[in-house]
Amino acid sequence: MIDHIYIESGLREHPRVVEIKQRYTSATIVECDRYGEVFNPKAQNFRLQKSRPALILADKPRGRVQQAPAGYGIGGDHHYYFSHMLNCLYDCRYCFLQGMYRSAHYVLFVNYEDFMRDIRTTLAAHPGEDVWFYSGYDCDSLALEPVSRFCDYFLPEFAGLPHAKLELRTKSTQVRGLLKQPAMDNVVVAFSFTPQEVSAALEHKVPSVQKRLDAMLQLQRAGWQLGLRFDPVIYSDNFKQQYRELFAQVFATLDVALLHSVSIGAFRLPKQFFKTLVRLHPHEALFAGPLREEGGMVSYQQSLGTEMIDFCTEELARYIPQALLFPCDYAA
Amino acid sequence: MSINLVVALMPEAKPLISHFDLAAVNTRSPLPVFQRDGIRLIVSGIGAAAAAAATGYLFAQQQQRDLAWLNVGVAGHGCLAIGEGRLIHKISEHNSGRNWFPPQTLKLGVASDALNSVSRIERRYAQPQFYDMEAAAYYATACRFSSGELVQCFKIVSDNPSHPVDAVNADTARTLIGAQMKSLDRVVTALSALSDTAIKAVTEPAALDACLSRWSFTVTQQNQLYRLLQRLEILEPAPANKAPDLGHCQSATAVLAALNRQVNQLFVQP
Ligand code: SF4
Repeated sequence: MIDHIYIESGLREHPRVVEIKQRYTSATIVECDRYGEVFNPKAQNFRLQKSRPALILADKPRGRVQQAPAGYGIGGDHHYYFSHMLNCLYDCRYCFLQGMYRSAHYVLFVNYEDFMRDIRTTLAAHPGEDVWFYSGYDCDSLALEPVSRFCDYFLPEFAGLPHAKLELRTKSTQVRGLLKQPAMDNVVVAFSFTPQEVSAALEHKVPSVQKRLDAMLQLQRAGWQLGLRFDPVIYSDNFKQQYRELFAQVFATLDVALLHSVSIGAFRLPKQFFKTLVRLHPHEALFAGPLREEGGMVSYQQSLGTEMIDFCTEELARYIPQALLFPCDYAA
Repeated sequence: MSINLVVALMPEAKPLISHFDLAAVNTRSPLPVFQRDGIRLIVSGIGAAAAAAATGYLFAQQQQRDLAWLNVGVAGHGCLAIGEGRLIHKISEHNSGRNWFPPQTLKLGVASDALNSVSRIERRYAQPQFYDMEAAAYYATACRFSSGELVQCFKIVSDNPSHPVDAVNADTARTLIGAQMKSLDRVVTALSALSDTAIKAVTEPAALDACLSRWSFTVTQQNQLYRLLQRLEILEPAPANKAPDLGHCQSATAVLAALNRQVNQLFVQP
């Protein structure tokens, strides 16, 4: 439920802004000059705000398409990300966005046309080559789809750009926007999973594993290419059993032959983000666990991290060919 | 309950003092302060400097971060009817052109509005918003001590284009605030509950004081000690959690090493 919508005064008449206002007729509208006035002040507490985030409608004037961090990719040579949104409907304890932003408000950049122009320019810098564009870096690609209508705009645009590969990354079941369009060869819809027990404890408001699998199945039947993201892999005393059960559940539902990619990565966070997360959730067991800091990153102690990834890789090998599997070792 | 109320004038304060049954504290204090059960009220006087000074003074008395703060007062408005009360979601400082946006996280169904903090009494009411003389200075000051979600303003319309400010007197202010006491009570309760959540999130580990008084830790070591004790409490919750056995330790370094060992023993290796 959105009770307050902050709108940059220059966007008052923007068609997407008008449409969103019509959707939330009882929301209080607050005008600001630039979204940073609301989003960036120091005296904000992400955790307190997360109980009732507002929506900020803004224009992104620059830096719309960014080089993806090394190791983020799933094959191919050129990787970029673009963020039409900052922050997310869900509330995952490990989410690095809490360390990155002071505010939990959802920022929606409504100048989609400018994003698309930059995507075309970036693509043109690699003539004849495939270029990946990731949309779920600073948000969940689909969770706020009924408001953002991201798919309605971007998918038809990408349809005309066969060398531009788009990855939507999500934990949501908002697939209606995709299902009403024909499946596209250059779009991968990637769903992230942790075992149900872990998800229930750490991924607040995220649909259950089975609900997400049901959404994936609908997409797979409609011909969409799907990705699986087991990232972050989370430790618990019985993680082996938890991940064994998760993989069994996932691959009992989906047709492996139609999967685009599977990636896996252990829990890791830049040290500064980790410190912020501990400050926000000092009693969270995940952050009290067997972690170490090295080279500015916090991750599981070396032997444990390796053991977990090796175990999951071996288990996955029972279901998928090696060529589908990509390690994720990028730093957020 | 823990909340600080900042009010410009005594007639505005009186209904709050009476409703929350507050008693005057320290009659030699430079500003009138009233208190009971975690609710403190200060009467600042009119204007930005007075509001900032009173807010700073109240913080200095308590030295507690993340307390709830509420500025209550009557104010002019460009169009709302006399007696209407609102939380404030945008504060503009007329002189500097600066804006603040107090995050609206209270789920109370209390409407909110924008406010312009001016340095002289407003008689033109050019915009459909509140006009006051304290909120910007109060908010900017209180946000040095608490997160913005915990710093709120509640304003009640005392004058508007058809009821000029000259007709407002002590009686009007007292009556108008008294009539909004139900909403104010809800805001005070919800805001102090939110502050309790923020403060509780940083409860100190039980064994911290004992360790600090027995061994001498550097500042960095104190931080390490704090987190190690906290991790032990999380990983081995009561009743299994007993005070860590550190009696044999000769130094702070030995304490930290022992705690590290104790924490690592709690993980089942795969
Ligand atoms: S779904 Fe992704 S973006 Fe959203 S809170 Fe969870 S980790 Fe963060």
